[in-house]
Amino acid sequence: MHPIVLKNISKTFYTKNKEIHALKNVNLEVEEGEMFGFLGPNGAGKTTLINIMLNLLTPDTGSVQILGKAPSGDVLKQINVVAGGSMFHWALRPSDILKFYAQIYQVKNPLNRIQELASMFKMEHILERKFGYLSTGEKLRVAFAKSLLNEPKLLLMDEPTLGLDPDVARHVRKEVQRLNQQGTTILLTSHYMHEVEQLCNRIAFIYKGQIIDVGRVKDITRKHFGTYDVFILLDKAPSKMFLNAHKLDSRGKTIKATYSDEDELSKLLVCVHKAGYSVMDITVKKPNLEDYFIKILGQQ
Amino acid sequence: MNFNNIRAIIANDITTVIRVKWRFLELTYFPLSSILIWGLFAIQSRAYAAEAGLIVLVVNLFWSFSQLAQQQANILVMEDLWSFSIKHILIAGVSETEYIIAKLITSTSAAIIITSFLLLIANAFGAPLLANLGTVAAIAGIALLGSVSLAILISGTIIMLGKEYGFLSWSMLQVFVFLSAPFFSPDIFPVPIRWITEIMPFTYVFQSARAIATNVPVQNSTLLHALSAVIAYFIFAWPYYYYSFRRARKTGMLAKMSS
Repeated sequence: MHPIVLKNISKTFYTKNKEIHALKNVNLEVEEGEMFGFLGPNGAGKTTLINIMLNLLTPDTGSVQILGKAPSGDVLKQINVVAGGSMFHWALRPSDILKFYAQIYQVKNPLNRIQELASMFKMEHILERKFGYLSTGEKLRVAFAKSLLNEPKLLLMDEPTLGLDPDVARHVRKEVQRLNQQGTTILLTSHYMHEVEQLCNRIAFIYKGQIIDVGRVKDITRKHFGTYDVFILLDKAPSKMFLNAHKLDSRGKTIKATYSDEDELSKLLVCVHKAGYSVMDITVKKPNLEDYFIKILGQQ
Repeated sequence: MNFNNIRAIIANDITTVIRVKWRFLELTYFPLSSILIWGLFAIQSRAYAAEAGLIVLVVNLFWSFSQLAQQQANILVMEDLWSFSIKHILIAGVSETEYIIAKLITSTSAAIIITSFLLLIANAFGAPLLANLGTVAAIAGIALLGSVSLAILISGTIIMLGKEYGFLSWSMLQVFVFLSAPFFSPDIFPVPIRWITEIMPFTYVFQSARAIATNVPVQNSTLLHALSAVIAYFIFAWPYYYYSFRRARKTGMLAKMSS
């Protein structure tokens, strides 16, 4: 069973003067146990889609299946969500908040579970402080703890590390990876490309309400770029004859080559050796998600 | 219907009131000061307008009761909207019905407890309330049903139109009270407004309250009228409330208010 199945989802918002097509015929299936990245620029439709999955928004057309059913009561109790900038009542303490949601999710041994999560997110010391007085990072830890109370089968994460200090963001990423390894299916939206690249098995890129690409990061970048750049630092500046013979660019002692497969690089290294140069350093620059993101936005 | 969800929301609302000290003050300060003001007026007016003083006092008691029940339910909803907690609650599988029932139970419980004290105070100021406790309880029950219906209608309106309309929580009842002719007979209004008065939820409640204040027996037909009016509101309130959620989900207002 696919935890998320979206079929032909369209959504248009109407303002006084115009229609905004937020989603156009979106189709998406997320596999069980995978960590799926959802990318796109601001206003692309990511949060709209998440709101539809959470039944906070109804699509104009299409169907949504979460854990095999329409997203309502029982299904929603088995999933959870964490979003950057999650808010709770300012006057409540994290312990109050977690107790409340533990009761809503009918968590067995709620106090033990709260202690367990407090320890996992290193928030024992803030459990009795008012939520409104916590820092951004501390608030997010509370939101994370709340989102794991019910040990969700599916966790939707909307920009979870937005505005976090690097060390807290790293901790969050580790926890997300650990959760995924334990079998939780995760859908992650993020503006941080390296985060998605590091964490996700597959990604979907959404732009102007349409899914443009779905697949593994490696496959998508290969499809769009096909080549990668290699920078080889030699012991001395290469001769013009050598550069022309191999159609290479150079700057000082560094030569730059562009290849589509790794065999060509091996052949070049042999030629470099035969020509009497020694290789001091090699840097391979493969296109990443950020390059992909910029390329797609440029094309559109 | 999941009673666990209702219990959890009630417990959370009580915790919120305990954590925000001024919320408890807000609950008691206005109704208590009103009853004291009008109670003292009732004492002073004994010399020149005894009935007028008691009418103002008794009507105020029912007004405060209705206001507490309605306003607190809507303010509890607003607290969830202001704090964005509504998203977490709804996506935890709490239904719209469970949500509003929890809010109504909390607000009506608070209203009943506070009004019981107010009733004793009003009685001490000379209002014949304990002597007519059965009738008072019947009218209070009817007033409560009217307030609950208004609370459901106002919650629906805020969910549908957005939290900018939160002011309806504390201002809407005033219009209904005015058009329900609180201290006077509806005959004082021009004819078109009298028609509106006929369909107001509290017209017959206030009419009964004035009768109690002046020791006039409350007619069964008046109580029946009062009950019919609030039942009509109650029946209309639910489909409107569900429609409001459907509409808010369609327009994106619910998602907008949640993030």
